[in-house]
Amino acid sequence: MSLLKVENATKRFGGNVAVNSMSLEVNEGEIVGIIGPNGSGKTTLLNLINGIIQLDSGAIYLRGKPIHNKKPHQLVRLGIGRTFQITRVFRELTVLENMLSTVETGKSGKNNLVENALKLLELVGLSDKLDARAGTLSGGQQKLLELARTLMLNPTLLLLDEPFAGVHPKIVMKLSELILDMRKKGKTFLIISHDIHTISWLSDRLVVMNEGRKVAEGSPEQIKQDREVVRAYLGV
Amino acid sequence: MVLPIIIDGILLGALFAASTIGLSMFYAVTGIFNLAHGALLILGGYLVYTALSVLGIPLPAAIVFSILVLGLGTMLFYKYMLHPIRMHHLTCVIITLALLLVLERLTIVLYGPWGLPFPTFIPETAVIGGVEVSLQKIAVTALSLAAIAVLWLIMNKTWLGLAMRATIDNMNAATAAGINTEKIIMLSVFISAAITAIGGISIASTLFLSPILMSQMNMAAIAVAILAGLGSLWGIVPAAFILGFSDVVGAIYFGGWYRFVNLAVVIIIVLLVRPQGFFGAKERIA
Repeated sequence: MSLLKVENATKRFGGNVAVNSMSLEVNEGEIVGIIGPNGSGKTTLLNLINGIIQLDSGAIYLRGKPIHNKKPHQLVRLGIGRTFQITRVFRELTVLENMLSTVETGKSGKNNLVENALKLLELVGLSDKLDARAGTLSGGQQKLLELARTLMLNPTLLLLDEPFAGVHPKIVMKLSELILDMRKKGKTFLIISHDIHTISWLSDRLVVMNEGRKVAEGSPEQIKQDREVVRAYLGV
Repeated sequence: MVLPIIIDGILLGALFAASTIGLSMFYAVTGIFNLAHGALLILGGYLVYTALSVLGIPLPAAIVFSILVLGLGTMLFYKYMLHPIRMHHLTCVIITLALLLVLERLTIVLYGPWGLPFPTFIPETAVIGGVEVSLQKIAVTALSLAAIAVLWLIMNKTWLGLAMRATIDNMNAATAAGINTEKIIMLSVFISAAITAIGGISIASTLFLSPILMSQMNMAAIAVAILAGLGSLWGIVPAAFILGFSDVVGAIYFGGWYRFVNLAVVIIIVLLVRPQGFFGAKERIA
């Protein structure tokens, strides 16, 4: 059984069909990359999976159980973590408070919470910024903090939206190493990225979207040679 | 001459702070500016009056009664009237204006248009540096400051407070962090109304109870909130004391008519010089 299954998902905003009968499966332990031109529905798909918006039709399953009617905080408790294209940290809270804000989920006992937070902050290289307000961190550091906070939730499936966008190559490398390390620990990733080079070497499989639909799926090597993909990106 | 100003300034500042912090908290959490705040404030006082005179319960229980009724009532009003349309800010503000008018009329029907004297529980006075001060006024000031201190402790030293601060900071991020933001908003609305009830009790025991005070205290609370900066919770405390002292000093040197002119003058100057207030953010992040 796949970990995540999206079946004919459709979402409309007025007359615009943002996601059009999109189907997708992600198996446990996989890193699946989603690529496609701007406006192809990639972020909308992630928003549907983690409950920020609701499907117009279709279904989404996590370990065979339907989740498309659940709210985001409920999906967090079921093991889905999410980061955003525009980083969402609590700017007025300190770095440590950002991490501890996940206490509501009960995923870590309150006694372990601080210990887990410190370990993760050490992992992402922010252990010297515990008392700094998150809003004072650089863009790349905020991305690392957002990912660390998501890992505090101990998710089974991580949805990452443009984690490599607008950050220094060193941070890209650090994020990539972290993703591979977490995959070894049994986590599954669904990653949107325009950084074709990074997502290609990181992913087991790529899914290409265009105009709300899946136009291609396969290994990174297969995708690079796919005519539909070239047409989607170059319009020729 | 200085000591009476200091004492009156502290008493008035504490009253302004307790009267306004609920308004600021409601705005910070919901994004809606509650124009019915003044009505809820005075209603807090009327509820204590009702508990004492009609239900015949002792003062501490009457205070709890007021907090629970106002808290639950405001929570239900927000949940069913405002939350479903919270993205339409202007509509929400107009609905709160309608609530102000409804509560003013309802109060007149139930209690009459005239002022009601609040019972004096502590008739004794204290002499501080030669100045005679009502012990009841000192007690309600202490209650107001204690309520603000408890709120600070909740917000900064509890897990619930951390979830509330996270939700206020960025609601979408809070959802992604697994926080049930709807539950947190409802709880925050309850707490904001609870502290408003205490502000109302302070006003009732310091001044009197009257439907006229609903709009007047609205203006005072709005002035403090603008001076502090909309959405700034803790900026309310220094802003309240600044306004309290300027009100007392102005009344002494310019006359009693200055009391409410002072509030309007402050609003105009602050909006011209520093539109975001002393401690407010220039824009609200969703």
